[in-house]
Order: sequence, then structure tokens, then C-alpha cells
Amino acid sequence: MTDIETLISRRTMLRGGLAFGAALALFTPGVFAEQLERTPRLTEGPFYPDHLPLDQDNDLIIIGNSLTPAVGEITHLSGRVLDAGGSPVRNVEIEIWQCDAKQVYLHSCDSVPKAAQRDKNFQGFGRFAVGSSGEYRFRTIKPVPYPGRPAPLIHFKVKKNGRELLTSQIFIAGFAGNKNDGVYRGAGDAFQRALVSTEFVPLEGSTAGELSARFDIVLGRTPGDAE
Amino acid sequence: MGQVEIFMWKREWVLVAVVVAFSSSAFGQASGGEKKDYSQSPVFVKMMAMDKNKDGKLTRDEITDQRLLRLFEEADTNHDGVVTREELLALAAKLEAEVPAGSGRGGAGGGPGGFERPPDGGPYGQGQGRGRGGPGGRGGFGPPPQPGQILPARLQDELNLSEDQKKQIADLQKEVDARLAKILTAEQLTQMKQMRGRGRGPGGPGGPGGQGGDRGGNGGPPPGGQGGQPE
Repeated sequence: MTDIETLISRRTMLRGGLAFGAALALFTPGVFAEQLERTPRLTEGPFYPDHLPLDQDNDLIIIGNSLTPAVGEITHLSGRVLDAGGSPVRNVEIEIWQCDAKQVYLHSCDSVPKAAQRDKNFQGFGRFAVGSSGEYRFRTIKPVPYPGRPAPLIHFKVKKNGRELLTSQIFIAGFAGNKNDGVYRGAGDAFQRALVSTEFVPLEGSTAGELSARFDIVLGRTPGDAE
Repeated sequence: MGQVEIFMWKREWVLVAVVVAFSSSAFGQASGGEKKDYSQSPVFVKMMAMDKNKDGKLTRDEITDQRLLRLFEEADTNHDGVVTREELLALAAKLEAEVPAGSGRGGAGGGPGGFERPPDGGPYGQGQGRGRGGPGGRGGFGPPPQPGQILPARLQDELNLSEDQKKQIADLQKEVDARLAKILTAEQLTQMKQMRGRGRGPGGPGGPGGQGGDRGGNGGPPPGGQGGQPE
């Protein structure tokens, strides 16, 4: 073999070997079994509030001391923030935002032109400081479709000291409009889509028809310096 | 190019083709009318990875990720608390069918290339991630808009048009068609209609799954772009 041939054939083998290795790593069952699958990242969308509301608590149904609740199906959204090893992640903050029951977001590009249409009693945005248990909790409405987004969804961000760790969306599992929604379809394979979906079920003991939705969020690998 | 070089190039291509064929068949993406094998689908593989005692079935206590209990319940169609291989394959088929491959809008591309620090750094992003990149984007987005067509039916559905709006669009379409007929010559019109009838090719292949950094950012659009489905 000449030098050039040796070189080329080494390169060929190297490339082939790398591709083969990658294929094995991707398709061998159990390779990542020890770790929880991370929550897929999804687009922030155009309507993260440009002016945050005065009331930013975790109850989006009542603004301040108002007596009038928001329109919509009241939903208790809760879950845990975990690392890939399954341990609770502390000292992070979760923000959620979504359009109101009349399909208007709390963003001037949407709420100004649709001022007459919007539900002024819906807070549109909320925050929650996650404690040591990793648990979070919001009271909000069951999301509704938005023009151009046939899949109803709740946007969320996880932040630590103001830095964004994850931005994604929560979908309603099995909702008919999901299959026509560009972001849902682009969320990945069926397994990945399942990780950004949850069921909205009747809240146990509620006589007012309130709903409950559990959604655990899994961030990246176990941090060495989480504290 | 010398003969030796051409020979080497060919060999490289053969290798690449073999690897591609291996990956795609392993993934169960058999095309055409063949019955799909879902035993390599992510839903099946990742759920079965939790089968601790390797008896080929899943029980509730083997599901260590709370988020996946929902999939477990959905798969357990006879409600006996055990998910068999067959039940899991059926669930995989059902979930995959929710968004058929090749008919989707171009999905999120693969994650960024390997050993990259995610944009948000942070304690959860530190270290040189060996996480898998995102999956490749799916194929194109339905049939492409046709010449002279205002809003394709699919887009109308996505925009949640009311029946009344759909009727108005249909009327507008008639108007457009009528005016186009006056502007264009008979020959041009025939040509345009032939273009309408001509379907585009199948959706482009998904982007390759990047060997991701530690979940750094959403990948770009897939290189296999916006081809439509054959009509």
C-alpha cells in the first residue's frame, strides 16, 4: 500500500467507525437508562411579556385584591424540578405565561390590538420560587388554542439567579389540535413529545370543576456546584 | 482524479451507505407499504429500558420516572397493571401515528455539535455534555401552496378559520381565479393548471441528530427542508 492509500483507508475506517459508534450509542437500549430524560427545550415564542405585571405571584386567576376571577377552567399546575439524577433542584425560579381564555397574551403586540377582547382579570404571567423540595405550584387556567397555534399550551422558563436554564412549553396530552401544531410536531419523536405533555384531570375533592395538572421538569446533568 | 482516488471515494460512499441503511432500519423507519417495526422506536426502547428484571414486561414499580406513568397507564389497555411487549408496541405505533413522519413541518434540527457549552451555562449546563442531540427534523410541511392559491386547506385549519371565514376565502379564491383567467393567456392558464397537478416529492429527510452539548439550545432548521407530500 502506498502512503496515500494507507492514509485514505485509515480515514475511511475512522469515519465509518465513528458513524457506527454513534449509531450504536443512539440505538442501544439502556445506554441512558440511569438518567432521567431531560425536558426538551422549545421556543420562547413572541409573547414573553414585554411589561411584566405588578402582580407576579403564582395565582394567575386573581390579580391583586380583585374579587373577579379570570375566565377559564381553573387548573392547579404543579410538579417538581429535578436534575437528571432525579434529585430536586433548589433555588430556582419558574415563570409561566400563556394567553387568556379569550386568546390574548400579556404582551403589548397582542394585548393592545385586542384590548377589547382580552380578559382583564387574567394575570397572564406568574412566578414561583422553588424551595428545597423542588416542588412548584401555580393556579392558572387550562390553556386554550391561539390563532396559528392549534395546540393549547403554557410557556415556562426555569431561571437561577436570573439566568435562564430552560425555556419550553407544556401541552395537553392527547389534545386533537396538537397534531397540527408546528411547535408540538417539532418537539421531537413521540417520546420527546410525551415529555412536554401532561393530562389535565379533575382536581380531587373539587366541587367547582377545577382541574389538576402535574408536570415534572428535568434539567441537565447532576450539577456539582448546585448549592 | 486518479483511479486509486476514485476507488477510495467509492469505498467511502459504500461505507456511508451501509451505516445509513443500518441506522434507518434499526430505527424502524421502513418506508413504503411495509409494516413498521416499532421495537426500535424511542417510546418502546426508552420504556423497555426500565424493565429492571428483564422479563420483557413492565410493571408499575419499574417506572422510576413519574412523568412516564402516564404512558404506562395509556399502554396498559387491559388494565392488569402489566405492560407487555405487545401493548408497548401498540402504544408506540399510536403515538408515532399522532404526527406521521414526513408530513410534519420541518422540525427542530439536531442539537448543536458536540462538546459544546450551552448558551445558558449555569451549573446544570456545565461540563462537557455528552447528551444526545435533538432528533432530526421531520419532513416537509404538507403540500406546498400552489400558484394562485390564497390559503391552502391545511393552513386554514392551522389558523383555526371559522366556517364563515373559510367561505369568504373560497369566494376570494373564485375572484382571484376569475381575474387570473383574464390576465393570463389560455396557454399560460393550462400551464399553471398542470403545475397545480404536479405534486412535489416527499418531505426531506430529517436533520442529523447532533451529538449534543448538554442540551444547549434549540437546533436550527433541518437541512431537509420544506418538501411537500406527494399528492
